[in-house]
Amino acid sequence: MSSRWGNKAWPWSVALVLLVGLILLPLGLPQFRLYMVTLALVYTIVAVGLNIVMGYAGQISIAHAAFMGVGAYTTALLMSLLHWHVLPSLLAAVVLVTLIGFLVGIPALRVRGHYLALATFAFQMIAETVIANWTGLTHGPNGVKVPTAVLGPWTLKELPLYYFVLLFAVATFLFSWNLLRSRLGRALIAVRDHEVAAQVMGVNLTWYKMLAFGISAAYAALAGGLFAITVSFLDPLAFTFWESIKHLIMVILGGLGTVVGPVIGAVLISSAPELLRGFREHSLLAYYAVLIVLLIFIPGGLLSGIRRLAGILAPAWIGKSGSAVNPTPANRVKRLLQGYARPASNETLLEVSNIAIHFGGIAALEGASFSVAPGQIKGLIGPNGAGKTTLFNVLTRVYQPSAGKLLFSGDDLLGVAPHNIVTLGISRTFQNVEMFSTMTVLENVLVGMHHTLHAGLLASGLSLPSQRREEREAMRRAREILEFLDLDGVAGAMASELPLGIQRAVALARALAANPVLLLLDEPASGLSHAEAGRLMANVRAIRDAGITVLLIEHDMRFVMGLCESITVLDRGEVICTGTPAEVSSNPRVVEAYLGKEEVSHAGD
Amino acid sequence: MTIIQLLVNALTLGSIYALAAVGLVLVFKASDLINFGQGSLVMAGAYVGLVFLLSGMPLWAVLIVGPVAGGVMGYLLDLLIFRRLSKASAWVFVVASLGVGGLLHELANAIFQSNLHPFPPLLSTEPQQWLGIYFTAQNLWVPAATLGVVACLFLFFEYSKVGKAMQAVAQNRTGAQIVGINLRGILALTWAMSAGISTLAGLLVAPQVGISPEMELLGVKGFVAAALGGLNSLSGALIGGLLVAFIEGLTNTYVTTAFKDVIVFGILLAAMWIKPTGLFGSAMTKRV
Repeated sequence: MSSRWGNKAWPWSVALVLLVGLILLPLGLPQFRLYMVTLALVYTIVAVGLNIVMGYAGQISIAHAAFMGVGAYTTALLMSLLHWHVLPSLLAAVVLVTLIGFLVGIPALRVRGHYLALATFAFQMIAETVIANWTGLTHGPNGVKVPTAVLGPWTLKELPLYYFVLLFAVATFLFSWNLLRSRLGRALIAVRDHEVAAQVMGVNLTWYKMLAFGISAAYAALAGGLFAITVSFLDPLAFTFWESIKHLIMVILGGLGTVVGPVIGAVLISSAPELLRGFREHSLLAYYAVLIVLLIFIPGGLLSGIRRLAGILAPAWIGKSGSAVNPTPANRVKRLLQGYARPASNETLLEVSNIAIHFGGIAALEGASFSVAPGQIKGLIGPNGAGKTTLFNVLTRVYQPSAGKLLFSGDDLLGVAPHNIVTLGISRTFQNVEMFSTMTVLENVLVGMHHTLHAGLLASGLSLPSQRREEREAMRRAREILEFLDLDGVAGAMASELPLGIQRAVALARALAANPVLLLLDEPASGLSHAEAGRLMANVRAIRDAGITVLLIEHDMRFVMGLCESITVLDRGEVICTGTPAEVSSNPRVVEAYLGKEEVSHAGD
Repeated sequence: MTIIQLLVNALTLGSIYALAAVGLVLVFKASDLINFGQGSLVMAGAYVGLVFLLSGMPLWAVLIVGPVAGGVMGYLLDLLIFRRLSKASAWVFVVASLGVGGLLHELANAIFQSNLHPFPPLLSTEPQQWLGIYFTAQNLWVPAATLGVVACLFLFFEYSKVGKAMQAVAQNRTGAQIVGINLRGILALTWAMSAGISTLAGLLVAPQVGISPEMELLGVKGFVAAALGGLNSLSGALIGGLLVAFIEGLTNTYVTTAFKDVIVFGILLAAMWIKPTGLFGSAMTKRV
């Protein structure tokens, strides 16, 4: 997370010092210590990989020991039985395990919930049984002797082996470091923080969870292969269920969801037999006790503990909020948004016809129909429970209607996958803001841009020039949008820690970043001060003037009547009236159903 | 061996899997979370009973006092650990339950070593024959006791006020709190019931397999039973347990002994492929 570290040079100098340290480290070590350090590097790879699926995608795998085991046995058997070279053996192990990972993961990840934990648990038990009982291949409890690997002039033992493993450990670490700071990493965090919001921003939930799980399985397989050539003798006991739990402890101890935490955890846990020597045979008891205490008191792990301490000493963004009111010149706003807005050609941009949806017998929408013309600011009002937000949820495919049709510039929205709605040009805000709570303001806005960015897995993981260019451009545009909404002062603050009024502005920035044709705003003025609401009104007008159509839900009548050109009134799931603010406020049905006894004198403002 | 004989043989193990699954389902219904330490609860419960037995308590009393003491263990686990995680994200709970499983496993190892402790059966294990089918009094008593427990649970949920409060918590936590249900108390009771039933499972299967830390594997098959039946269905757990034991018996007899666990856990994977919510379950809801 670049913004969290600050774009300063010091992380690089720290990294350089660490790298030199790792290169020099083994020179003075006795053979046994060198072996332990090499193993610690192997576990680092597993932990970094497990963190991608657990810390970022928020899904639990209990099969990483099994993945490691299959990787280890595949490497060992290819080398000993088929006399393969070490590199293709490792590659084959990685490919095989990744495929297995997909097979295990896909069905469980289609459904929301912790089914991946169950599926991986099943796979762990299966793999354990197979490894222990397929005596023809694995020799069961008798184990497999791994031939010494040779790479060019080097025999991979001791020092050369250490450097060989170090190379992979550093490479996999850098790959995940880059990946997690790219659009893919942001998408993963978004999925973890808020699935629905992530999907609305164009993130394909299943695909991203799969990606994370696949990469982490591949890392485990690689670690397994390296483990095989390091220990040179494979025993089924190295890959049991309890080992999988140990991997989980590594990630959690160091700090789930941080890039560096798992490395710390892996190093600590792999040196634990030394550290916990006092406990003798009960050292495992200490592991689990430590795990439970950690979960209760600092579930964020050691890193978060340190960060929390640091936070007490120096609060992160105090004094940075409430930037000076510094309105962006109107012509610049127009340029900013127009460059991206795609003008709609049709007469009606959005056609909602006869949409119906029921929740357990209660009709939330009953044949609602209306349309939105391009370039309009349209209001959607109605008493609580009228079905307004439900309609937004149907439009963004969060809910599936039981009947009706949705046409957007001629496209049938009901035939579009939920995460593709935004690519058609519809983005939205939420009534309860729904920030990605562990991300900064800037990162939230960058997630909004998700579907407009294209860097893939390799480009992101290797941080190719094309990806860096795209990121720079995205960053620049995100900052422009933040500047337009007077948010540049809080760009680095945690979005969820800001006051509600500012969070609403961030939500608007995030929705704008998606480059919409149609912008859906759910109660944008709710909870805003009078001044903030006034500024928002001006901003919405500027957005419309730049060519973006706006459909908004709002209870603040002054806001709606003053801003909207056309208003549709919903009551109990049905449209009871559509017209100009003046027509709507004088309509007897509206007065009866919605405004009731309320004064409507300012309707024409 | 005839299919009917296989079915009869599957009754004992099937009952154990069913009870382990019931323990899992109770916690899942109340908190929407899977207790991955369930296998260890079955194992730890058996040791709790063993302690009473070794102290000279008669067997029939152990079968009553044991589950109660197991319930106290469940209550303590909730009080000391799970209650403190109720506001954390779901993964914290999942990992904590794994940690509790590990802790119980290592405690058993530390206190009792990995030795196999024999446990006496309540009824005769003399084989009887009826219409060509062999059975023992013991392997009729185990499914009978299981059925009794599940029937009591149904009555409890259907007719008692506390049981209804539990159902309310399972369906809508906030709503239940609003109408004045003591959420903490209900969750604690759920844990106590889950651990008590797991203990009973451990004690019922102990005469057949002996007590050792590895007993967990039997409890773990409760997962397969629960996943097959549906994680939130009591009757699903019962049917799932019997089904798993029957398939296991079939595999054992006709296919392979060494790889029977591959088939059993393969069922769990297959269930994920075909219907992740199980045969009788409904979709998992997100805990918000």
